[in-house]
Amino acid sequence: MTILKQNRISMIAGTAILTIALAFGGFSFASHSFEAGVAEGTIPDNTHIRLDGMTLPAGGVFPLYDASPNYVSGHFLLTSPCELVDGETGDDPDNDTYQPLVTAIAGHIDEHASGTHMEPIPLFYINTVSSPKLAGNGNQCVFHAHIPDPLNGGAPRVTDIDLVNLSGANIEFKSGHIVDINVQRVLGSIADDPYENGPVVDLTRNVIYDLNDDDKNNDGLGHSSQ
Amino acid sequence: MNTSKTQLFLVASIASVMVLAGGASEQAFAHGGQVFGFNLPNGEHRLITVIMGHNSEPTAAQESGKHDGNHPMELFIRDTRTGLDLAEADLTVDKYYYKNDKDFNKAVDKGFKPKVKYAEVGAVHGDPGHYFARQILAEPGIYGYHVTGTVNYFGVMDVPIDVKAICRDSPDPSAFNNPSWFGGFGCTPDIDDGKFPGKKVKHDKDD
Repeated sequence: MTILKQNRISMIAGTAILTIALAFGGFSFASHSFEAGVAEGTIPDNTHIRLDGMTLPAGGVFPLYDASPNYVSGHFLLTSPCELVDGETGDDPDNDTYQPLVTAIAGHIDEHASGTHMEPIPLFYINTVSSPKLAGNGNQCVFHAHIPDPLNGGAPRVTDIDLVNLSGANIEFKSGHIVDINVQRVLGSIADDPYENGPVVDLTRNVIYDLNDDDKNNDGLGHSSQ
Repeated sequence: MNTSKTQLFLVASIASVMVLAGGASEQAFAHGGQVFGFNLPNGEHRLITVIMGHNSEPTAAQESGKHDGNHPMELFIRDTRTGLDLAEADLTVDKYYYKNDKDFNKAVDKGFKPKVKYAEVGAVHGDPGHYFARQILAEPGIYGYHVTGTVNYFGVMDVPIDVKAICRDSPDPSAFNNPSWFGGFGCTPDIDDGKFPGKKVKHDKDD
């Protein structure tokens, strides 16, 4: 078995384990006191979306999840083709930080433009199960986020999650590219706590945090070392 | 496609997604609250909402064979923007009680003095963001609370909290309440006040 094949198997296995852990775990990445998890005796709602075979054109939008009128809390997992974050050199897979080619946004899309509020989701890059470390390429990076993240930004109340292509070129998704959304709690109704004075539609790329590199400036707030 | 065209296309696409916003709302209950602002270490501003009242409203005082008077003072503490519960806090409560309006008005003139100081406020097991100061309301009357301490904001920092309010049927709640208090919770009547019919009804002989 070649090293390349071994790496591919490791990558696939790692991604599978990570996905299962996220779907059924809830505390996989770090300790976050804002995550209450599901109440005892209830099962979290999980949405698993395969992206393979899809080509998202420049400017294209792919709606993933809509819980309106409820705004919710949970986890967001994305595996996507990726590229280096600006300023990274690409010469050290243990320390380089990557961003997805596609942009994940969340918030609330309302029929009234004034009630629409969408922002990029702050994402955490997981290098240990991503292809730059496992296979030496940017074919498949794993990103994780907390919905909402009260410490590191993004929309405070999330009813909708979408992928958008801000890259300026087609993005082709291949085998292993997925989104997994695990909703653990309903926090309220957007009818009671609406966004106002919109529309706010922030079409910038996701801010990427990385707890596993040497740079402590991109760790964000509120994360333990576990 | 250039950036401005891309953004226009995206805005148009997002606007075309139709969302049905329902009218679900939480059941109203007799509680009030205060909102506290602070800055995170990164400079961003955040708000904490503290809701206070009696558990199991409407309250009634303890009376043997009729009602146990078990109405803890309760708090619901949340991150205002997101609605996420704040599950760690270090809080105590000073408790105030006045038998009637006359006693309350005397305290307005002479100063409010707590009956109990630094009573424990503990987290309710299995219900993040919900806190109790357990108690039996022993007498009908006017109850007030002054909660102080800190709420931990998601492991990042402790935020000082100072919530003070008296039940809303007192003669002048604003004389006691913190200025930023909103809403209110009910005072505690005698268990027999709610009886209907309150007095023995004279029935016709053929009933």
